[in-house]
Amino acid sequence: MPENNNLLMIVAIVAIVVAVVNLGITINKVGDIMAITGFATDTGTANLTIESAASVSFVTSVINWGSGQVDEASTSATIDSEGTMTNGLNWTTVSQGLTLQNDGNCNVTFTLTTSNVASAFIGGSAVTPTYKIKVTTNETNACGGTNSLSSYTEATGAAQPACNNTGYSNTADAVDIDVQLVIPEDALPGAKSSVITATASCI
Amino acid sequence: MDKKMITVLLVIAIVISVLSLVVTLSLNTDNMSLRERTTTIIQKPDFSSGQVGITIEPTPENQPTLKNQNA
Repeated sequence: MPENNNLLMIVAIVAIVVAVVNLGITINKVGDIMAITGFATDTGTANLTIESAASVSFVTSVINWGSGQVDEASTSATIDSEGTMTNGLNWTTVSQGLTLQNDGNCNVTFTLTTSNVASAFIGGSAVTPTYKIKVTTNETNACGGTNSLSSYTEATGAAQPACNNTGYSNTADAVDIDVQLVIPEDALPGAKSSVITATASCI
Repeated sequence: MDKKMITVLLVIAIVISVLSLVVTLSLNTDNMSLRERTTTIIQKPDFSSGQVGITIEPTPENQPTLKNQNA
């Protein structure tokens, strides 16, 4: 059967040739793609990286009651940024709190930190001074999940968790931060100020 | 050429084909890992600040000297 052997030999050689050509083409293509992916890894990855996706800003950044005093007949005055003015004289009634907006591209959780506490901010001892903050929605569903500051809560000067899921959709990305003060009649006169810092992280 | 020689050649052909397959598979793995890297998102916190201000006027109650003067 020498003819059959020769035929088998031809087939085998053809198989080897095809396999070698296949290997050569594959290696060639791998080399091209590796060169492309090499460039992409060096520069393409950086171009596609998104940094600082969390972004918040105060669109209303000041609450100022102006100048005033505690009514002489009272031991303290209670005022807030929702229009309350009890036993206060001359101060401007404020009906708009701070407004914080999530203008990033991810849902965020945020905390509030005040630069001081009631004793340092307001002072006095006729009654215990208080400095409280509260977070409510400015836009529907802007404070999803848990709101740990849904009612007036004493400012501690440390980071206090607020909303743990505030979206970035333009129709549901703003919350109000209201402030309530109890001012003792013997609080030292002068200009008082406090800074409230909101710190947000993507969730 | 005997059958043994032909058999050896066929085995070589199979080995080369397997090597080719391995190389092709490794190419697909590279592409997948590249996609994973390019979708990485680096997140860092952001912050903003608001201001609360009030001025307390002097009164006899909060300024003892005025209280004394009034007395």
